[in-house]
Amino acid sequence: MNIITEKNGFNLDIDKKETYRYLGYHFGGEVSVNDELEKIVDELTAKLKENITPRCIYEIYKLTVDENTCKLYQYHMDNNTASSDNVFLSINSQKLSAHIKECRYAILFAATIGPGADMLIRRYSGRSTVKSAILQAAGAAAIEAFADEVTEQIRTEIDTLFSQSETKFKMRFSPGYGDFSLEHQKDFFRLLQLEKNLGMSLNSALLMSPSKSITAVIGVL
Amino acid sequence: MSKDNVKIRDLIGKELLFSDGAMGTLLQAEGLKGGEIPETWNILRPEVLIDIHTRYLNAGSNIITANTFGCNKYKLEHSGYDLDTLTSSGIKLVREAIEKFEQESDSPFSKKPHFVALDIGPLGKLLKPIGNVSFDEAEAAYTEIVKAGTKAGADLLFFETFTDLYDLKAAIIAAKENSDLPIFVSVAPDENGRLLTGGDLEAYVALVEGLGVDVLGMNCGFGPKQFLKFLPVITKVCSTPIIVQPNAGLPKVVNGKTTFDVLPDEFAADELELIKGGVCIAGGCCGSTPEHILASVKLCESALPKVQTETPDEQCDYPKIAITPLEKKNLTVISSYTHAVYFGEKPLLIGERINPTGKKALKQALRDKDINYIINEAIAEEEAGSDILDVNVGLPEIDECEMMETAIEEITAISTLPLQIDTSDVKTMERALRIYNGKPLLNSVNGKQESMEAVLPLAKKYGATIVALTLDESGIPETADARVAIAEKIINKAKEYGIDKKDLIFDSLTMTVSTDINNAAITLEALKKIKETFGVNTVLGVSNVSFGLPLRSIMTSTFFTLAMENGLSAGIINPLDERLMAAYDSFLTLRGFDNQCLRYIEKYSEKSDPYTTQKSPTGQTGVNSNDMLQAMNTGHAVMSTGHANSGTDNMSGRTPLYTAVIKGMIDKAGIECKAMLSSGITPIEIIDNNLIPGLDTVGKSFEEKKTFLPQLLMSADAAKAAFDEIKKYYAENGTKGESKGTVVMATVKGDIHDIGKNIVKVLLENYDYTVIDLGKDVPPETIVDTVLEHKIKLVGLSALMTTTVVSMEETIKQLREKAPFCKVVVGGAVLTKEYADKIGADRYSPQAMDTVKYAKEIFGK
Repeated sequence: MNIITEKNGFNLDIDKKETYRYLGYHFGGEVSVNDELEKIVDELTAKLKENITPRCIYEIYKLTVDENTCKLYQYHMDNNTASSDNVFLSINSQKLSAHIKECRYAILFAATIGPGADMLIRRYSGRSTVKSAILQAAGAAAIEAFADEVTEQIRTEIDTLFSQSETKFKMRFSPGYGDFSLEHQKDFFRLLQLEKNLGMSLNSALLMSPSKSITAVIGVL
Repeated sequence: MSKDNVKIRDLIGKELLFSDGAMGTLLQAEGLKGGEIPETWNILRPEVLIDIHTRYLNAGSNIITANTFGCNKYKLEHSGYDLDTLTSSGIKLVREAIEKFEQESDSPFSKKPHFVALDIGPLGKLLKPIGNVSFDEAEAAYTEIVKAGTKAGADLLFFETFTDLYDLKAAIIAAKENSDLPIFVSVAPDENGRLLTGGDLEAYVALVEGLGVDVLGMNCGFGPKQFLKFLPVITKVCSTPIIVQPNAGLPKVVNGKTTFDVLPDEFAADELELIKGGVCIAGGCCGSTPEHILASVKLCESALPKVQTETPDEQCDYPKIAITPLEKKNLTVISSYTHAVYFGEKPLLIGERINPTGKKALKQALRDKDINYIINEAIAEEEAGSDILDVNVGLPEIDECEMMETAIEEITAISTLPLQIDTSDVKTMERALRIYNGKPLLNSVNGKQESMEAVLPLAKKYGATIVALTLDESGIPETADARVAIAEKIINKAKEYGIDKKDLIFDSLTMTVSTDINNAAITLEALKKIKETFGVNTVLGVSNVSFGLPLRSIMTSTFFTLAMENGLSAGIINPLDERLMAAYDSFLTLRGFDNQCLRYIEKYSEKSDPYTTQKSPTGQTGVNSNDMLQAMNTGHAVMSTGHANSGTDNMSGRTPLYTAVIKGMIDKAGIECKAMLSSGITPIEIIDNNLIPGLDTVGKSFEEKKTFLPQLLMSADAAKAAFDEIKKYYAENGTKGESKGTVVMATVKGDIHDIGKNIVKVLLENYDYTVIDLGKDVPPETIVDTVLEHKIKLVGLSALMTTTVVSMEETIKQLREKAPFCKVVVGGAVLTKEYADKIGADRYSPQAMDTVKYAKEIFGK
């Protein structure tokens, strides 16, 4: 299991356009963002950056896929010994199966920008609706940007593992998307030990805390 | 022979001891599979454990940790084993290995004293508010382990690899309450020297030293080189013996097997440096083996001096290696869950605003359980520069203990400042000290026998630093010397309870100067004498000095300056009082705490002088200084936004307030509204002719998709700023705006997404409805009870997730049964009209404005 934290040298760039998109803007029309709003967005984005502690963890598994089910096995497992006994995780989802059907390996991935973002949002939620909305949007943009950034880093680590270059990844596919049941959040927490490793937790409705967190399956081609 | 007569407490901090190395690494080498619970091997493969322990004994370890790291109810839940069995067998195996080794081995190490450590890892669960386990539940879980291990005959309790200070506090309290065994604690910091939940190493030391652990330290995560970097951070503030157990470097996966990159000789060389740097118990964590420990033991034996015995012929049958003793630090410190705050250098500011004495609005907020009011005060105090926040929620008509717990939890969720727990109720005091996430500051004890006997034991148990008031049974003495005498009495009494005077901060009590002209001088003299005589820190609540006088803050701020000059360590003050802050800021600069005056210049270069009456830009004179300041600040803000000024006058006869609402100019809306009110325009006119039309315009434009959400929200916030002025006006003029009706809003159980709910709330308030906001993750019962209590006609529910719409359905069902008079409007990303109908809602509100429209229908206005 590999943990990637701030110190591993990524440079998180929160894309302002994404923040606006999460706020409900769609560009191309007649409406533009006014200066007043832009100033607040800049100020809060800077504040958010000071308060995030991004961390990511991933683990690679051997994968078998049929029409309905994806099964994850230990990475070093000998191909002939695949049996129900040593399945780490079995996911019933036609959508996910279709998405990663040609992959032989899968990565379980989790990332968070930490509890600081939630604290900031909470600080503003009683005082300024617009600021807490902007922080929500900027937080969403930040976790997505971080996930994209570390996915690239993971790709190079997998290159090293496979002794090849430019390993192809499928798009991240998260629990709750399509028929990939949110119940599987529990499996991410169990297998990646997210409480211990990333300081994340899961409530009874299967919502993650910190709220700006992502779990996903990444198919490896 | 087993060294029953040697107690580990007699050895720690006096001679070098070695603990053992990794357990998991060795078990995996013996075939433990991923996912298998290591502790089950205490029953299934006891011979493997005996072997591992013996190998560490042969390597020279004194302290052998039992294979009990994961023995807790959460990790053993589905193991099929009970905690008692695995714990006691784990302890028994170590004891067996030690006895056999001491009796049968001819190793020179067999003469060493050996001890059995009950190994206790974190529960693997995060505590609230991030996680789901409460502090009390965590403490109960640790209690089980501590009791089992103590009963099984462990020599010490070793809490290791902790990554959260709150979790660690629960563990230590469980240990203190259920066992007399020595307590060792150890955390696993990240590469920045912080724990997973944000605590730094100084906060860690402050907390656990306060709680009185026997040994503290670090383990896991990194190799010894990284720990060499962290060690000076700890030794700088720590007086407690230190243990370090690094990994053998970083894990690397080679051919599917995890290996570590630091070999025994390098490991030993680094451990020697750690020991020279102040460590007195050394061992290893992941990847370290008996070979690593043996290399360290051998190197230290040859490279370090032996302990000098008092009598030369004293018998000692093993080499006692000397350590580098840590000096006692005498720091007066408190901490939050992220950082420590030290008294005694520059004066600190304790924000006093969360205290209902003389504050009508806060009293009302406490009665209404309006936690948002308290949160906003806390944020305002933090932003104004407070170092510590006083929290006093004592009101006769409320449950103080419950309110204190809520206030501490909520403030901790939005601020990282340490808190001063301010209460005279002993039950509240104990609960607050217990659940506070850090080393608390407690306000207060005084020289009365009764007070000292009630407060000091609690302070000792929870490691609080205490504010000590120099008064006793005969009241507040009229002379400085008598107050000094009370201080001495408290110091002596505290000593009896094992509390060092460094943990007392003395308050020589500010008295009103208008009742006796000598009062201030006496207080200052007592302050100075107490500080100089006992070498302790001091604190004062300063504002009392000016009671009954005009322009109080002039007097208060001068007194504050005098107090600081006489050695005040911390002032309990209102940080929103600009004059007081000006006194503080200039004191810091004058007393050399502000290098090159940079802080002062940065803060004041843009400000106007609040003491002078200037000509305003339009030529009017006699403007109230505060208005001036505000006007200038706002003028600045408006100009910097460029275009904002332009349209104001040619906006077809519309007022500047209307324009401010439409454009979302929050500060300007407040100012304009205030100006209109003072020119005699009635609130009703302002609302009906400016605010509502402004909001309607923006709302319509939003519905037509000409405006996007943030602009709608900025307009709502601007209108809110105007409404706040109107509310103030009503409060000052004794009238009250009429509410159009009361709406209950909640995000349903299980769901934590409240932004949509908050938006609707602000809009409803803008349109003059009263909103009871129950927050997020609200159980159906709470909503039903509130509706019944206030006879509510309209409830707004929000849910974002498909998984929580179920809670919404349940809430509606319960409302239908118990409160059929109440209408329900629902909203949230996953809802549709069809779904809303299916779960029985009265109205589906896809947009924020729809709820306002529905409220108009329900309340007829």
